Amino acid sequence: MAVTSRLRELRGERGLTQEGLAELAGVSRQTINSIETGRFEPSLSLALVLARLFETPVERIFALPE
Amino acid sequence: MASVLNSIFGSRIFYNWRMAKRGWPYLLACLISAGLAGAFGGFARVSPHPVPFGLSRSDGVAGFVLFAALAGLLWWRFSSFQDEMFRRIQNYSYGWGAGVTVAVLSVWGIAYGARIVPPIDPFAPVMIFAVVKGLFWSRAIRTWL
Repeated sequence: MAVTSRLRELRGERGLTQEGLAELAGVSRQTINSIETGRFEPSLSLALVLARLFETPVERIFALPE
Repeated sequence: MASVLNSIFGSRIFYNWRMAKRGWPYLLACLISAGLAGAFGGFARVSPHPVPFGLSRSDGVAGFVLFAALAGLLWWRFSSFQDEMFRRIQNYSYGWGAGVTVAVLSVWGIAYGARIVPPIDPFAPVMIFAVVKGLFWSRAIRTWL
C-alpha cells in the first residue's frame, strides 16, 4: 500500500529547497525528491527526523490512503 | 554554464558519485584496492607465462583475495556514511548480483558434473557478479530516483 506524503507542501510552506531539506535531514537531494514524488518510502527513522524538522507529528507528513 | 553543469551532475547517472562527498577517502581507498586486486588477478591469470615482478600464480591469487577482501571492507565502511536511499539501491543490486551469480554457478556446476560443460573460469564469478550488480544498480536508480 503506497504511503502518501505532504513533504513537498510542508517544505514549500517553510521556503526550503530540496537541497536545503536534504542537508538538514542528512540525506541526498534525490532521496527528498523521490519521497516527494512517491517513488520511495522513507524508513521510520527518516520519517521521524523529518517530523522533528517540521515540528509536526509524523502522520501529518505521511499517511496511508483511505 | 552553472545550470548546464548542475543539470549534468544532477542527473541520476552521477547519483552515487555525488554521495561520495561523505566518506570519500574510503571510496578512494576502495577503488585503489580493487585496482590492485584486478592487477594481482591478472598476474594469476597469465601465469605460468612470465609475469611482472617475478610473481607466481599463487602470489597473484593471494594478492587478489587479499585486496578484493580489503576493497569489500572499505566499500562497506564507505556505504555506512551514505543515506538510506544509497543503501537500499546497494542492497538491492548486491543482493540480485549475488543471487544470480550463485544461480549461474549452481547450474554450471550441475552441467559440469554431467560433463556437458568445461570447468568454469575461476574469475568468472567475479565478472558475472560485477555485470549483474551493475545492471540491477542502474535498474534501481531508474526505479527509485
